Amino acid sequence: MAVSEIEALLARIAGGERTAFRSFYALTSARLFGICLGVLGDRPRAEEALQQVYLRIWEQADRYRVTGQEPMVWLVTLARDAAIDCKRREARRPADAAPVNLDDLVPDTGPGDRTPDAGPLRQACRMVLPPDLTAMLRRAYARGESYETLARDAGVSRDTARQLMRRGLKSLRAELDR
Amino acid sequence: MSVDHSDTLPGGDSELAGEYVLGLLEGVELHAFEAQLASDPALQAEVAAWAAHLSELAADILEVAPAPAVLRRIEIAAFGAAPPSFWRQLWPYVLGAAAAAALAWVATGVGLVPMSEPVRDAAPLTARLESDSGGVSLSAAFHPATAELVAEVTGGAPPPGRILFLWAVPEGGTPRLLGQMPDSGPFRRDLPLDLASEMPGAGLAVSAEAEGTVSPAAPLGPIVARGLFTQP
Repeated sequence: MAVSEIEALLARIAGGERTAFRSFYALTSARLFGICLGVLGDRPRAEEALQQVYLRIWEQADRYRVTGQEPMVWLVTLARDAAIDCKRREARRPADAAPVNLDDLVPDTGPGDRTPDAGPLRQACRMVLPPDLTAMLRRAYARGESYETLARDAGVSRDTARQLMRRGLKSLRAELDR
Repeated sequence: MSVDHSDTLPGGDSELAGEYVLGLLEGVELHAFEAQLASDPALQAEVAAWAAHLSELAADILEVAPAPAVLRRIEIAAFGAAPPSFWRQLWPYVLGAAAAAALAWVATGVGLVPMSEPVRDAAPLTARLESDSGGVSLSAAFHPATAELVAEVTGGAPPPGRILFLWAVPEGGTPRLLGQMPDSGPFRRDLPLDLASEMPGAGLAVSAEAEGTVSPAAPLGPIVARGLFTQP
C-alpha cells in the first residue's frame, strides 16, 4: 500500500467521509489486526483493541501529521499501544477464548531472515546485538512481553534482562546514528 | 533531562525512550517518564525515533484478516460515537429553522397529519421534514397528552433498495431510533416518558438504510429528510 494513498485516505477521513474510512480499513486492518493478535494472543481481545485503534483513527485522523511520523509508523504505533494497554488492563483476567498459536504469527527467527532488503534496524541488530538479544527485542516488540516474562524465558533475573536490554538499546542507537 | 531512573542501570534517556516504546516501562517509572515526555520536546523526538526504527520489526508480523463483524461493530461505535458527523448533516437545517421559524414553519404541519386522537389539554407539536435535495418529505405531530408520535410521508419515495427509518434528535443529544416507516400509511408510536419530555425543541430525521444494516446506535445511511418540532 502506497504512503500517498494512506495519506489521502486519512485526509478524507478527517473530513468525516465514511466511504474513505471503509477503504482505509480494507487496506490496513489485516496488518493492524496481526499486530494486536501478536500482543494479545486471542481474537476477542485483539478485536477489542482493533476497535479502539480504528475509533481513534476516525476521531483523530487529522492529528497524525502533528506527530511528524510516516503514516504506517503512526498506525503501527497506535495498534501496539492499544494492544499493550489492553494486555495490561486485563492482565489479571484469565482469557476465556482459545489462544492462537503465537509461533504461527511471529516466527522467532532473527530480523532479516525473512525479508531480503533489511532496513537500518535489522542491519544494526546484525552488527551490534547477539542473536539472543535480538530475539528478546523482537519478542518485546511483537508480543508486548514484560521484563518478567522475557527474563523467565531467558532463565535470568529481571534485573539482568533489563540490563541486557538497555545495553542493547544503547548499542543499537549508537549504530543507527552512525 | 532529569528522568529519575535506577542508578544501577547503564545508559540514559535514549534507552528509557526505547524501553517506553517497547512497552517495558511500568508503574512509577512509566508515570515519571510520561510526565517528563509531556513537556520535553527532545524526549518526544527520541520516542518518535525509536517508534520509527522499531516499526521495522512490525513487517515480520503476519497479517491476519479480522472477522467481518468487527468492521460493523467499529462503524456503529465510530459513527454513533461521533455526533459531529451526524450534527454536521442537521446543522444547516437547525440554523435555517431558527430564522424561518416565524414564517413558514409555524404549525403548518397541522392538518397534514391525521388527527384522529382525542387532543386534550396540550396542543400537538408539529414538524415538517424536508430534504435540501428534494428527496422525501414528511409531516409529523407529537401529542404531549398521549405521548404519541405520528409521522407520514407526504412526498417522494426512498431511494431504490432503501428503507426509511425515523429518528428523534433531542436538543444536544444523540439520535434515538424511533422505528421503520411503513410502506404506506402513518407511522405511530407511543414514546417512552424520557423521550417524550425531550420532544419540545427536538429534531426529527429520516435516514435511508440499506436492508439489514440498521443500527439503533446511529444512522448509517444518508439523511433524506429532517425537521424540528415547533410549538403551535
